[in-house]
Amino acid sequence: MTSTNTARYLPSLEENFLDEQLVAWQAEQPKMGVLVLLPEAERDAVPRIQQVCARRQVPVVGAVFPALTEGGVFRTQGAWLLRFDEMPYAALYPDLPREPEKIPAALDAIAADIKPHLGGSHDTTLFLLFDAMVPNIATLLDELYLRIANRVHYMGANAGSESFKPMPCLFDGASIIQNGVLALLLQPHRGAVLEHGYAAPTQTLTATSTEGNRILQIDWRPAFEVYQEMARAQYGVEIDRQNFYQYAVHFPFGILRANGMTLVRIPVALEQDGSLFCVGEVPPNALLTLLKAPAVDSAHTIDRLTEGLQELGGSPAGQELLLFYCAGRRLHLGIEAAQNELRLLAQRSQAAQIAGALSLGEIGGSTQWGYPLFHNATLVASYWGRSDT
Amino acid sequence: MNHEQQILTILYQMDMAIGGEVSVKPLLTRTLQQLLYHTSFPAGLVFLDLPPDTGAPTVDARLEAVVGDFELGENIGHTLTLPAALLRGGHELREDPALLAALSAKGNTYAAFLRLPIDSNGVILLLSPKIPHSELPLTRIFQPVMANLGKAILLCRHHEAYTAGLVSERDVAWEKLRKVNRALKTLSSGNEVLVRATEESALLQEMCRVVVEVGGYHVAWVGYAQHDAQQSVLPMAQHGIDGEQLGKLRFSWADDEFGRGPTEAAIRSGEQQFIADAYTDPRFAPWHAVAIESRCASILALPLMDSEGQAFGAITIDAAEANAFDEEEIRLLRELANDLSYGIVNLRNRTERRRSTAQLHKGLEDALQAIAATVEMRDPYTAGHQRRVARLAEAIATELGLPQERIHGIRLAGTVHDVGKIGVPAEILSKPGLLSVIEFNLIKQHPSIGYEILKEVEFPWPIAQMVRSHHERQNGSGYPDGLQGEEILLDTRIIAVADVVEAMFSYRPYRPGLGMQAALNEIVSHRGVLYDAQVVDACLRVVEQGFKFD
Repeated sequence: MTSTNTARYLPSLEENFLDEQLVAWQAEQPKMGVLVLLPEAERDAVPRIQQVCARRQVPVVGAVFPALTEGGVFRTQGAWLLRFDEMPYAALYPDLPREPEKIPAALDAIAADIKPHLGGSHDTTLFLLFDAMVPNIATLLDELYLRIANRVHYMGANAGSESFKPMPCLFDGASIIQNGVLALLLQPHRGAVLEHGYAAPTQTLTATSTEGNRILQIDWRPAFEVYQEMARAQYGVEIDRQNFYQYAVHFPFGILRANGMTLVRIPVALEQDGSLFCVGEVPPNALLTLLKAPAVDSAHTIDRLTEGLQELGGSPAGQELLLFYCAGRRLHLGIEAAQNELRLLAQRSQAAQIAGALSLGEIGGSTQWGYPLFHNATLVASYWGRSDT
Repeated sequence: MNHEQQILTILYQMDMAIGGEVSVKPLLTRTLQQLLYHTSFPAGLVFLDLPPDTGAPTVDARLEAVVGDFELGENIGHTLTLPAALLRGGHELREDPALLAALSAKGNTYAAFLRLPIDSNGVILLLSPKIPHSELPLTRIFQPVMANLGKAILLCRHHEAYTAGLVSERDVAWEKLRKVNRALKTLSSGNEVLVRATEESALLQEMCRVVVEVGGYHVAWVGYAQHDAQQSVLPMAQHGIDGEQLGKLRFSWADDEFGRGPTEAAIRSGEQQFIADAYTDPRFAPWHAVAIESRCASILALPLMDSEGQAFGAITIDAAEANAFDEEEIRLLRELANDLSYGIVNLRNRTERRRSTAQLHKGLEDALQAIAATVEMRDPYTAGHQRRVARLAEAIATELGLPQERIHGIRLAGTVHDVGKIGVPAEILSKPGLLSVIEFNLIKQHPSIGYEILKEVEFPWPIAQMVRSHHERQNGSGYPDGLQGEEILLDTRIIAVADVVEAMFSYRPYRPGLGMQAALNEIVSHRGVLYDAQVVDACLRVVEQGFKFD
């Protein structure tokens, strides 16, 4: 397989364009399958994609994201088609449980499905695309790690609408589902690199009362009250109920870990009782800090990402990459700065092509091994289409 | 970043997580998850109960929990032999691939570890291909957490032992009751069959069907002794086994090789016969292969006796599990065989029909007494309570002038009204002092549990409904259904009053007996509100006329 012919951006989803691309690829790889990344505005095209793929007998899976990234800009039209030379194991799991007592059985079932397909290679990546409306992704990842552990590398992202409006956003050749996950087993594949580059300020506070992705109290006081104080003290910004939605994305929480790494959690909703809803769970008693846009060092972040890719599979120059860019990060930085980061990545990596989507949460670790963590505001990059990665 | 503040928060977070668990396995898993989350080590192991240090270079240690290593995860519960230098010693962060070689499997090579001893009891090892970056002193910050973890493990083990004791005691009681109950269901359905029977072969066939389909036994068949030269036993009816297959087997009630099986011996001796393991019992040798093939692991054969006391055949009941029949169950099934014998003889002599009905009722009553005994054996403090309630309820019902047949049903229901307490842990039933809300809610389930136990047994009286409703009150404040006034059967209202009077009269683990006057004051003060007024009045008259508990 050539390394630069496995990802195609189609500016239009006319049936004949799709068909032509599949026919061309099928001539090279008769057992091929395809992963389709769609922007939200094109989600009505899913049945058409399913029909064309069925007609050509091409296995297909895909996900709908707020937007795509292509050529250093964000796109709301078209689609990315990502080819597998041979369709890997892929499964859709709709309606993941939220009740803690139902989670172990559901994860037992998912792990039981995956395990027989693991093969002998340790260079296997479990690629997970979640519906962003699933509120307990961090817990599900914990449970998955208990079952599959270090047998795979973990990478993934959240699909859905940027307005967090519930919608079916994950599909295969026959169905489209919501509140679930699309699991793909890529092999050989060596996972992904994840970076956010937020610098953590020194002041920290403790989330003393949390429920899943809702922070009720910080330092035993209503969360929003403390959030306002932190923003005022650290950045001189007055956040109130009226401007919360405008500001919150610029002042996300950081969850600190003993290894000095920070997990970003963007608050997306403010409740009457002063509690804050974040994208992603906040563990009880987690150590929180307040992050801020100007602290993002884009050049440093992109350098770290490129170095990570280098460690993962050698030089990215001339290779095809898959990228997930957090929608919250784009809101936070602004479209222009975000597109600068995309262009910087293209420039520093010298990649032949970067297929990407704007995601609503990302999954990965900063190292190649270790616990899969659910992040916000990050960039996740991996090689695509290389037989050794 | 202020390290001290960060460390304190991490410790707080970890201690909160550890303190939230009550069982060892989740406690260890949760602790490992927290450690991995905070340190970025990809894998962690826990070993507990390390053997004493004898200076040996290796240690045989049981792997109790694993997070993050797929291969080692398959070895949880196994004993691994590992270098003592790895498992023993203080808190240590070290790169030493040679020491970790035994833990490195295909595709995973560990070069670094963080050792965190748990008291002198065990050790946690965090493993990684290289030492993960951290600015914190990892060998020091987790020391207080490990000290607490040691205590938490001890507490969880105590809790698990206590819970296991409760569960096992309850399970034994449940299993016993399940067996009695399936025999009882068989008996009651069998009685219906007998009452309706008009023809002998249909009766035998239907009885075998009931034993298998209602009772849940594996196979049932009836054989009659033939007075031929071979003294053979002829299968007359069967269910759960192919008739043709049964017909090919040789049975004889003569004292020879083919006469030592349970069916043959039951006919020859006129006594019940039981084989606990049909796959290996030498008496069953000629039929071992067929027993294994048809999964008949234990066998009970009960003789069918004629009016002269001679066995003319046997009903044989097979269960799929070995040692399936206990004493009480056998007693009830013997009752079934007696009823069947009687039914057969009765069909042969229809003038006996009326006697048959009395015999059937006696069988059911015996079964109810057996159930009552099962409950009281387990709960000595209320032993005799059901019997005394039954006596008072019978007296009240008589005072109210109810028909004799109905009074009989009330007495029987009184005898088993607390059968549902079989589902309540014995510790709670006999607990001195006040009950917690949770404990009281458990006790409140006993009428519903009792109903579930009895609902499928066909009695001529609404016994199951009376058991379910005996804690209902006239004003709807009772449980489990909150029934009011006439929604509650009069029969039940009688048992409710008798139950309250006996309960207050008698000694309880949490208080002494209060005496008859206090018991009567209770029903009088709530007359017409909680308790049926005419039943209360009848109870007062009964006591006035000299009724006394034992």
